[in-house]
Amino acid sequence: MPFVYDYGKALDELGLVKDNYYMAVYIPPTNKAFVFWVKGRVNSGYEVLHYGPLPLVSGLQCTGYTGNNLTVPATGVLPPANYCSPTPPLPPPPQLMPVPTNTNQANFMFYFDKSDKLFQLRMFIKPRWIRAELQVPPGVEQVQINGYYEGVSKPGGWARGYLDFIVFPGLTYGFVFGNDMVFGVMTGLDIIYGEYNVNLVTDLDVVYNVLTHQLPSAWFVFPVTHVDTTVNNEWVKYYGFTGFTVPQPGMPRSQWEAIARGELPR
Amino acid sequence: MSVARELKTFSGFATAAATTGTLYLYTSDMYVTGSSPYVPIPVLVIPYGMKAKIWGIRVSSTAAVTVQIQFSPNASSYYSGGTPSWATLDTENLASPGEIAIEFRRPIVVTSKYGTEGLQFVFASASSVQPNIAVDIEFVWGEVEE
Repeated sequence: MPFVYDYGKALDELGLVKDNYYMAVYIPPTNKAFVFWVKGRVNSGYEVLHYGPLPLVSGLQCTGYTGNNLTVPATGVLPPANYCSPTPPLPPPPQLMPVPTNTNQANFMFYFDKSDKLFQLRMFIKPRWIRAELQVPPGVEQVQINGYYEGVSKPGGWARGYLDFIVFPGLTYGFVFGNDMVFGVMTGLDIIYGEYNVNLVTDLDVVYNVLTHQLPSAWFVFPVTHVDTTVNNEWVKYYGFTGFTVPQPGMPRSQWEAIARGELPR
Repeated sequence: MSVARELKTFSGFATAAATTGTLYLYTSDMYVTGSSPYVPIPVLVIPYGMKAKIWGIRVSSTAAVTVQIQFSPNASSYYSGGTPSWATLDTENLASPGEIAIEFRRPIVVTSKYGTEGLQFVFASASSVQPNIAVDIEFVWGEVEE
């Protein structure tokens, strides 16, 4: 799990946050974080979801790494030496549930619109050499090296076979999947997820102790390199602000509290 | 650091009986319709930055046969109409009709530094044969030696 850290046995054997623990979601480009109290996991006992093939529909246009652009030949198949962005990005598998009436949920099965809920997703893409990129929101690349936007379309490394991230309310995410093998592959997706009932923590005493790792908590790095306006707006809509500044080591607590008070919604 | 690993067994088969030939590779994740490009492959190109580790190979044939694991630094040129240059990494001899199973204590490791490197499996026999192989290849990305 490249983006999840455990400070004090807050994670279980599936890598999900245990009930009654705190979790911080750190936003690297802003050096801010949200702190949540995980009251309970809605999907206790059924955290592993076999999604099935990647949501690549037959006929979807892909882009070739060496110019040979191909279309998806059958559901869930990634053509050889091509990458594709599924549209819709992650609909519910038809065998799992009927098509939701909410368009956002029909496009992205983990979409929700409540401030007291969060999803944590760990996506295992098969075969594991499939290159994977998360876009927040869809179409907005987040992979960056020293200011240059990169991604699955480039020949370099990046994530293969695995993504993990938090889903915030009001947002849908996008994906790009690439297959740089010389043969077409039938893909698969397994998801370990936690559907948490949470409370956003605004008590500065708790927030400070979580952000300085003095309270047992899970620490998630939100895998974005810049915060899109859409994302910022949804944070303001659901939480009233865009997170607490994470204190630097050695920063007097009183100084941090003054900053944090200014960040809290009025 | 996230290391991605995928261990796959490829079956290799000859399309017709012959005294020499290249084995076409198929694996359970491969989408095959019989129409190009969705066909078993004679040349396995290793994606950019990945390693292929060959952990074991089984060879079966109705007559004695030699199977060679061959490497090319420009294997990808095969798919653009070129002719890669091949070097033999390992040779397995089936001395009589039957089957041999070889597990490598240390794998044969091929690293793709340019994204063009690849493998092929060829056979040779004194008589016309149609051998089969099954080769266990682990693809690894993100394993960096310090």
